[in-house]
Amino acid sequence: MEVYDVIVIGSGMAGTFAARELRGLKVLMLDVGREGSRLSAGAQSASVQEHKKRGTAPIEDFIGPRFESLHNINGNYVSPKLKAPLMRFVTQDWELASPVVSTTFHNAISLARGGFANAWGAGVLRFQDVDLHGFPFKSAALTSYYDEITKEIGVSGTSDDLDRFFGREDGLYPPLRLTETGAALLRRYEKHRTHFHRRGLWMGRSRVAILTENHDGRTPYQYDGLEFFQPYTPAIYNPVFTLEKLCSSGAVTYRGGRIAHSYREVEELVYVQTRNLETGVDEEYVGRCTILAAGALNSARIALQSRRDFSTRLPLRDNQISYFPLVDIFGLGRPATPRFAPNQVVMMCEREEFAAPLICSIFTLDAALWGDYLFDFPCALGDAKAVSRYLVPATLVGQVFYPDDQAEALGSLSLLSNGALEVNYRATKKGAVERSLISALRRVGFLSAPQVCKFPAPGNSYHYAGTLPMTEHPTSPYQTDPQGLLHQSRAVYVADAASFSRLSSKNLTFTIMANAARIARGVRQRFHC
Amino acid sequence: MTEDLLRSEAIYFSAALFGQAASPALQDAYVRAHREVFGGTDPCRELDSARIVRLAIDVEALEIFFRFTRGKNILTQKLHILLYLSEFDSALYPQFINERSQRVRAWARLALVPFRSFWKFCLGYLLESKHRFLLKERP
Repeated sequence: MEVYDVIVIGSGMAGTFAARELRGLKVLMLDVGREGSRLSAGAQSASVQEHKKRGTAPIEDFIGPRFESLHNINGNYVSPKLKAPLMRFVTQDWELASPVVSTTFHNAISLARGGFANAWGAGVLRFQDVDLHGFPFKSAALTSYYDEITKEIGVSGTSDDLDRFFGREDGLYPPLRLTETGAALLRRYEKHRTHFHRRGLWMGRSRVAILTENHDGRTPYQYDGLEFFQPYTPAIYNPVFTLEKLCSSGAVTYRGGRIAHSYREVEELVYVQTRNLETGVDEEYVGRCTILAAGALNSARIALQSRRDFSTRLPLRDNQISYFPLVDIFGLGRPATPRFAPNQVVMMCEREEFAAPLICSIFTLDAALWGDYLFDFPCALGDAKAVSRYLVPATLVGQVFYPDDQAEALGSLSLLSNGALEVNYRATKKGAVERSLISALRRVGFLSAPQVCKFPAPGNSYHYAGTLPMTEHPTSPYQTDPQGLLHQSRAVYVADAASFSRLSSKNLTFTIMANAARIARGVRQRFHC
Repeated sequence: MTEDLLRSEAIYFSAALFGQAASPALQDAYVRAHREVFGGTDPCRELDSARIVRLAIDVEALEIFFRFTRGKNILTQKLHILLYLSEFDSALYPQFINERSQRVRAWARLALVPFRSFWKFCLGYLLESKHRFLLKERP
């Protein structure tokens, strides 16, 4: 049997950046690896709004041959970014291969090549010491990885008031163009800085892995909104881009169509058991080390299944979210923008009740289909058309991410004997943050009301973490040491968000990449190279 | 639910909401979408849509009344399907998208929204009280 130096389980941000760090070793990546496809060339030639105007959109691409885009009419809520027909592969059939049972947690799992990063918001947010509270290392340990990954993926943004939260970053491409409404918000913030700062609010441009200039063979963003309808937009970083380079250069051997379910350690080797999803046959692969990077839920499942442990409850962390609309009262009747980027600005909120600042990302509403939001307006449908014409171009949507950063996680999970995970999550009371944001923004002409805030059930952010947490002195076989090594294991590492000790409000993806690279560098040192 | 009824719904609802009859392609899509969205369940058992079409009832009024008093309901879902399917019809684009600055018109039209919607809600209440279109309450 062929023995690999390292077996990486999963191809998302963690698996890809761990594998990238291991170039030169004999690396095998095991993955389910569902693949998506892109829109036809004709469909890619215009923005979503332009297609609507010209009537040139292929309905099967935008609505779907099986009407996938209508999912939310009579199904469990799915993010607009995941329900489009060509995006369904991201979460396709996860319930069959990785079942989860819960009444309190509305999760999904991605079995796609590249994982959830196929549909990420592309936020590139460095964690600072305050965001790493509870971790067994400081932010300085990640700095060089953040820098290196920034060069690899290409980040747009600028230095502004948010430097105090994200640090100054070199090598940024110019920020994305704002819509008239986004620009009006930022302009008014700059004019009333004192008003906002007194309330602990800071605003600036989004730092995103979306290109505004050519980078590494990839082209800049076309402001077409098509990323809601197709994967692999060249301008928006996707780990598949790096993975393809690694595979084509021979740095990684990729085996798709396999779901890893357990491992066993025998002497100096780790045997990873997988199920071949095509044949249904179990297969085994051997490595000197294994890196779990299957996502917080599936990495926990593999760890529990490997010990046939059906009684231990592991912690689970999640960013609960809320949404609220913001209407620019001075912008009513403003014309719609045919080409725009959904990401507009970011607000950071310092509040006494939270140890670290909260993030509120502000987006345009236009990126979604009318059907995704028009029924949310409390008016008759005839009036909703007027709302769409005159109000929507002047409307932004704020999305608040709540941390799960207390010593005790808000969620927990255990493995059932049928292989499913049973998840419980305790939703926290929300609303105060939104009220204070709404109140502060009213002063600059952006109106909203607490009554129209939406609070999706926990799990809807898809930011899951902390199931196999890192700690300075691990005591349980489901904790890792600061280098990501599972306690009582000789060579099984955890590189994804499962190893996060706490979960800050900031989007965790950039830190997943950096931490995975950090852990992989430690693994690499085992091989004296 | 028969295909003929679904087609007549598509034609009537489209005319009522968008001022244009549904094209044969839209009718086809509306019929097929019902099968996908509702699966094996028969929406006819929840709503007497045949009578809504036959009596040319103000469907906008009925919908807002149901949405505000029943939440997720079958009529809202049917109109939701129609809205999604009509989204890429270029003839409807001007009804939803404003391409030039129209501040005065916007203020005037948006100021009417609460009054018009309230009137539609009341009308929906009267229509439902008189005709009882909703056949079955959802749990």
